[in-house]
Amino acid sequence: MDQMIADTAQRMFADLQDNPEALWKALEESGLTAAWVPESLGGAGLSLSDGFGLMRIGAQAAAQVPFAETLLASFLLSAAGMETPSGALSIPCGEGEVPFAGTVSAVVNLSDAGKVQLYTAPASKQARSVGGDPIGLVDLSELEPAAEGAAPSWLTRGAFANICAIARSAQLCGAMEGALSLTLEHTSMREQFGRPLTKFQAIQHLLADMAGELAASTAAVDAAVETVSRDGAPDFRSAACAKIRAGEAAGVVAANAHQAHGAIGYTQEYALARYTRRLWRWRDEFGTETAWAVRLGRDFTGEGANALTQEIFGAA
Amino acid sequence: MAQFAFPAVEADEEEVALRAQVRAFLRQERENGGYTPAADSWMCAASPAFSEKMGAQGWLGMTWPKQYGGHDRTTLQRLIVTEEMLAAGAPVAAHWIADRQTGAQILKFGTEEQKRTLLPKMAAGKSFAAIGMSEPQAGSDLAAVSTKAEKTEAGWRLNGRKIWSTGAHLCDNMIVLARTSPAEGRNRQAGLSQFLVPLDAKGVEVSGICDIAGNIHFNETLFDGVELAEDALLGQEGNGWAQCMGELAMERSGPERFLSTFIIFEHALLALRGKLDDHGAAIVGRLVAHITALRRMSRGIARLLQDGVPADTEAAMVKQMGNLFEKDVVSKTRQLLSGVPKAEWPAGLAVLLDDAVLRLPANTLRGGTTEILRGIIARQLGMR
Repeated sequence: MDQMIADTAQRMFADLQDNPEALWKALEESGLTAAWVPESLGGAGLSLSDGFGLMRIGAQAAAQVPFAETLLASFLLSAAGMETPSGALSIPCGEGEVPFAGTVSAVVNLSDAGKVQLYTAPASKQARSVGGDPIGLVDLSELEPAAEGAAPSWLTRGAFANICAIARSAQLCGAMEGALSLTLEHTSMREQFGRPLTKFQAIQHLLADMAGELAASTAAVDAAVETVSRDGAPDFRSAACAKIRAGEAAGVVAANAHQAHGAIGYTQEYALARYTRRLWRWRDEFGTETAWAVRLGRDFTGEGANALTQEIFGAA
Repeated sequence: MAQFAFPAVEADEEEVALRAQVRAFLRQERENGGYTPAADSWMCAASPAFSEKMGAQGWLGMTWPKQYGGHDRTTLQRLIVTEEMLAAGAPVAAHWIADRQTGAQILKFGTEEQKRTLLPKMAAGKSFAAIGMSEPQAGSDLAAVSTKAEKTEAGWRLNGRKIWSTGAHLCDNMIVLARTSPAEGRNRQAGLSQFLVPLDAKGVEVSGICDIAGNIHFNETLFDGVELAEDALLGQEGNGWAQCMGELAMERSGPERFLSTFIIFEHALLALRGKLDDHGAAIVGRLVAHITALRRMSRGIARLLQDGVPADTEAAMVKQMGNLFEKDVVSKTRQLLSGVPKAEWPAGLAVLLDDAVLRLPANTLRGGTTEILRGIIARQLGMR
């Protein structure tokens, strides 16, 4: 990603993380919310890769704004040649749930029949969520879209699910990075038994494991992002690997972060839960790691699948 | 905060062609009864004949300069060969250490004479080397080594004992970490040096140690007044610790750290095709996701090393997670196979699995224990 864009985004998210309204305004004004709207449709026309990078940066700040959701919604609209309305947008994430429903100006859906449907401020019922961001239950079958267009043939629900999985995986990496950073800071400063927590092997090992999980997740997400960038259409296998690996890592990182923080990390006031609650939520959205693993496992062992060496290391 | 970077590595035509060559070679060897696939083959399956064949193919000393018998090829190309060999469970143990680290160590720290004398035969798969680091009283705490090398008129005299040296009973040489001058107060890392020791020298006694599986893979080596020439010193006197740490980074950097049990996974899937329920499929999918991430990281390390960028902590990280993955493969394979009668298992799988179970404890001990590796990662995070 262009370093200047990354730096700008990082600064914006960091400076305004506690002020969602101001942050959203700044993101809109900078054009970042239109990252995935092509220039021909009046957007910033950034690559898919850049967009995922921005999502990770946003997640690292743990700000309560539907940034990723807006990008994903605008991606659908742009693919169908439709205009993206101003304001925050969202998309369904499974089970009738829509992140930030009730606060966004529109919800965009991709139907089974390949139609991109725009629903203006649909009615929603607040749903329980472990994540902390507002989630709404929306029954789109009861509603008429305000606008409709045709998705290109390659953009099936499956292909879009792959993109969404990669998006959440990138966000999981951002949140994990935030949790790790915070945990390092805390354990460096907090002293018990006459020294900082960082001097204890048990604590060092907790953090080393967090760093490893984050590195592995980042590797998996990078690989998936690259397939999208290369061929346009996302690769199922690499999207699955990213969501599985990052989803599993999220659980380890969240648990270890809380463990290393002690009770203070378990309070509403302290910043850790902004990360860990989102880790617990995002790993469930667009398919749990288990759901993706079932499909990936079948793909590797189904009819026509080659020996594992070929499937993993490539044909030769 | 430390960023652990694993750069992207695209496969190219050359890579695909090399992979095909290696697979064809392995297929032919298997058909001619050249070897029986084994798990952990880089530690446990030694075949000097096979090593020589690999040497003849140009697949040993791949990254070494041609003038020393090498092939001036890239780290990534070497990774392709090693990946395929490990996945196939080929008997690469005899040359593994020499090819992975000893040669590189000599290239980095050796004199012109040492390079010319030792490298060509290693690249030909005709000379093998062992690691002389651990001692009975110095394992994870390597700086506690007490093997001593004292200066003599003709060179050096070596006294001491090394332990757990894999393959020493087959090897011509060992790089020995020894104390050449006293520690500096509490700094025990000072005063150490590395030596190239020919294992047929007078006073060297290699004794095999039987592991719990009843096999002899590692050894104890006694050095009883071994007279070494001056040029047995490798690199700089007193620089042994730093040199050794560099050697360990090479030792930890390869795909054997997560591929040791790959062959079990592959064979098990042959038995399970068409028999997997959702639960079983999920187990497989999860393992695929894990190995995909590990492989990506491993390739990234190869690229870093190729570009001359140190990757010590990255290597420690991949080894640590890789070892846990290897154990996971075995435990999940057991789970998956528990519903399938042994009569329906592919030939050889039962033996592979039993052998793997017996060897598993060693995965997280050899080449740096999990506990030490986590400490290395923690240091990179700024905690130590």
